[in-house]
Amino acid sequence: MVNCYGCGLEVGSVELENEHNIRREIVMALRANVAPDKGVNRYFAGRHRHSLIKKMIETHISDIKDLSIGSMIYLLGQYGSGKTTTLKMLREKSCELPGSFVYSYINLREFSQLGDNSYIYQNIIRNITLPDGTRGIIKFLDKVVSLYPSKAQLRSELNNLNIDNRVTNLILHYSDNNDLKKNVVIEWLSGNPEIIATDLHLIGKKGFQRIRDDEIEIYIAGLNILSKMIGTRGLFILIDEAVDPKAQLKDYETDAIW
Amino acid sequence: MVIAIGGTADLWARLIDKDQAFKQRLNSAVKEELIPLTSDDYIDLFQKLIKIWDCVFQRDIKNRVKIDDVSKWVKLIESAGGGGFIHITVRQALGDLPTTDTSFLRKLDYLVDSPNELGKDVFQ
Repeated sequence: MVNCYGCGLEVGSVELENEHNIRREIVMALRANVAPDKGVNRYFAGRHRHSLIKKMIETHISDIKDLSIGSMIYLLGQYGSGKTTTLKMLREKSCELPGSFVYSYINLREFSQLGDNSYIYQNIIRNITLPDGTRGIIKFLDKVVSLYPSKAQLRSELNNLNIDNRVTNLILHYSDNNDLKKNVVIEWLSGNPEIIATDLHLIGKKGFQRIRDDEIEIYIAGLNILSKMIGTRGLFILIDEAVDPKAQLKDYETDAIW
Repeated sequence: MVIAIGGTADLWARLIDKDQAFKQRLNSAVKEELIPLTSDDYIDLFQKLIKIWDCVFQRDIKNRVKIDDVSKWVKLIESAGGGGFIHITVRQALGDLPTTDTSFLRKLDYLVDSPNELGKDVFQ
């Protein structure tokens, strides 16, 4: 048996191929001066000395007292001090640890409509990812409704968990065997401003209604509970690079963890 | 639920302007500053990168760059100062420049393949 002298895996194995692909992507990303999407833990250095990050990496994010629901923690650092790398590391860890998270990672630098809460919300929903890497709100909702053989059981569980009625009703509509209805639920929950007004009656909404800015937190909280319903520790949202291109305040940036 | 946010304080101040409750949470948040990496951190980083490099390029770099060599290399770069890659790496090692400015990686490949005056002493 021949092994790669770099990583020790058996030459010709699937594991070796996967590992080398990740390492190639790391090198390509670093050459482009960006943090890679996978494999950050393979070169992560130095930040273990920070007590909070060390705790988040070595224990479990949801077990950390400082990160109880409703609290917020800022990570401060200059441009390039490793905030994105740290966020990506935490994203990796959130999937690897037992009882992992549903997560949504968005990079606001990729968007043009900064300063718009509903736009940020839309992108959080669009990027919802299950711990196994399956991405999309449809997969997420399919997983939720598949846990319960009947609508009555689903309704009972949702009521027991004290989810806001607005979220509960959407999930119940989604559980109906009606593709058009499902589509309207997805469009509504995703905050799509282009949703067809005439279809909204299917989910008990009136034309021209949309999720309001002051309702966003309610829907996020509902998705957090739904994430727990499917056996994860909750919803982990990472928002990176909320840098205003006009402000050019690259010398001082803030990361916060809520 | 955990939310991580990266960006300028200025932008977030404007985003949350309409939401006083959210603003209060921001103000009462715990703060932890990312301090610059030390030389030891860079040695750790180089070791890990060399391992990645070995796999990707199938070059046994780690047998040419021993742990002590990397340490010596970093120290040499720190003391050398001036000019391009050396300058960047010196500043990185001192914590002046961002860790994500990884332009030194491009040079690392060159340095290992074709040791210059600086690399010659280190990589022999």
